[in-house]
Amino acid sequence: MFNPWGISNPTEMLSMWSRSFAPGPPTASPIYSQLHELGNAFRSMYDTVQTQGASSVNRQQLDEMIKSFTFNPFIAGLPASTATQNNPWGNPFLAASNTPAWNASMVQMPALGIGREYQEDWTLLLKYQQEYASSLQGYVNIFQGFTQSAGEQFIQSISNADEELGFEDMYRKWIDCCEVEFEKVAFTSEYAVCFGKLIDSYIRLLQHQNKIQEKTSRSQGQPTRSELDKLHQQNSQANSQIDRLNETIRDLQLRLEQVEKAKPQRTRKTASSSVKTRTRRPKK
Amino acid sequence: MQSTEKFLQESAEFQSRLTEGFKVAGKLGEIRVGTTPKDEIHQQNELRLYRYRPLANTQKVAEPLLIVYALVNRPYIVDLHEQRSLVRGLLNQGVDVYLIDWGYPGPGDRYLDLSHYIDEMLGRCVDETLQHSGASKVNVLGICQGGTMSLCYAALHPKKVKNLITMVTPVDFHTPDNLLTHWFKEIDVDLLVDTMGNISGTVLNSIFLSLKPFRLGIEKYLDFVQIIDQPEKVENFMRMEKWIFDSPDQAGEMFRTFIKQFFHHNRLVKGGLTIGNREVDLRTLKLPILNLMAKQDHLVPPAASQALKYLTSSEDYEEIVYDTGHIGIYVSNKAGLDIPIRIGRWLNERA
Repeated sequence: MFNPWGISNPTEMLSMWSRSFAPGPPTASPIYSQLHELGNAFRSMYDTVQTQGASSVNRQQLDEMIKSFTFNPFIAGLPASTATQNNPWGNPFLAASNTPAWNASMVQMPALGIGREYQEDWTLLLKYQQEYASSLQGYVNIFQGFTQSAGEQFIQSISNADEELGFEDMYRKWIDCCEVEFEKVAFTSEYAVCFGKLIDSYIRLLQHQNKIQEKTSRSQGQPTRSELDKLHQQNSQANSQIDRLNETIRDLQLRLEQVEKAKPQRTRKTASSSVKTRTRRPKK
Repeated sequence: MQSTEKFLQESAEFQSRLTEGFKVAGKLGEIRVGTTPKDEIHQQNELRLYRYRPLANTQKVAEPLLIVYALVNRPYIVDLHEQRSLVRGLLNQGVDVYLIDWGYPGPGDRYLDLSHYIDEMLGRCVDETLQHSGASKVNVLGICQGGTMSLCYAALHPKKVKNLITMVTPVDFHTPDNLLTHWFKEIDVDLLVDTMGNISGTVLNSIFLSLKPFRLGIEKYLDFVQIIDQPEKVENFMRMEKWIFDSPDQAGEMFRTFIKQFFHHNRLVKGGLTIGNREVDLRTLKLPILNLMAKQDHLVPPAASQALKYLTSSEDYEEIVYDTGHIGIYVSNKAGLDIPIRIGRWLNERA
């Protein structure tokens, strides 16, 4: 069995882990391909409706549409989407999260070489990965009833339609039904808890990844993120102090200008001439 | 029931429009935004303060109007296009317009918090506007999150603000229809900011779009297919897309304080908000207030803005609800044309 704890080069291990699990920023690029998939699923259902009537729409067709429709750009950027495809270790973390018995034996394996020093970190990393996988599953589960209810709403709305519905009309009805049902789910306390758990578990995973990266950077004499953060903080404080000093200087200049303006004209002339007199005397 | 032939015909038309549309979209050059002439009058790290060059022959409103936009997304939404420009509309009403552009915070801005944004950045911009215009007081137009910040500033510096206009501004963050608050309430914001530093604007934007995933993620693109062979409309669509996905990161500490103070603790309603050791109490606000909101706003429900009516001591409070959404209030034909005229008139009456 491949032992991820036994890799002798922690930098390479970290780099592989990072490539596999580090999330890329969510993008809007899948929109068009999703629209295309959605169109295919919709056409299939539309065709069934047109030829056999609304009641013949089967669950599989609805599921296909839901899959296309439940585009969540936030979730699309999270690591689970890439983990299954790119993990060069044969995906031990995901496997661990799926098979607790395998996982139990995994974390008890003796670490060899330099990997020993990292065992605690990797064990914790596994724990956080499992927590994240679990919360992701919880988040997905909360939408289980959504498929059913949105589908029922949709079938009812097209069955009750008095007029002939075209391709686009039906498409929009489907969107309406999904949005209404989504809102019902999204406003529940259960959803808020699931959403919070999902974000928190994901961030905890990232935090631990940062910790390992920090340790690796330090061991290589590289600047660490916390050192850079500290410099940024000092810079920020210095900038604030400079801003405040500039503010004080501006206030003083304004006050000076006001004082100058308030002085009677004659007094100013006298003062000026007396200064001139004083500066000329030493030359004589 | 329609025949399958008709379905196939509609489907073929759909494909044809899509193909034609991509050709049109491919020919579009750079999408230009924010074209109304303006001059930079102040710079502070990423922040820029602009003054728009007057368009009208006579300036009718004596005091300048400072626009304080939100930190999420970019302020050029108020000057998106010549025909869809709140700024241009205001200039045509004889208003002297200044605008704060907060810029794109970088890693070095991570430690800027709410107090810094209000006292040292917004405060400084007010002072610069006063100095540049020669006025003794400024009118403030706070938009969305910028409105919340403007309320805090006006409560702390009542002598500097003459009239306050708030637009789609959240005040009561705990109204039952506020989905964003509902989602944020279970998030450990300390863990988030301590780990991430600045908060990714792209991720935040995705969360905003996820509030209505089917309308904002799919229906919008269906609408796009309908206009795809009309270059001018396609350009407008792409202009809006550019703005929607142009999301600056949020300075970490600012995000932390804003989420905690407003989303979690609802401080403007419940009290207890301090900025630079001074308490922000909306009851101290006695200045005239014009509160503009959107009936179909999914980000800031009207009730969240309307709460302002009962929280200040202003005897000159007016509110207008437009039948549009959070974005439509800037760019829809009806609201877009009406708002500058209303603001211009309202300010003139209080000049």
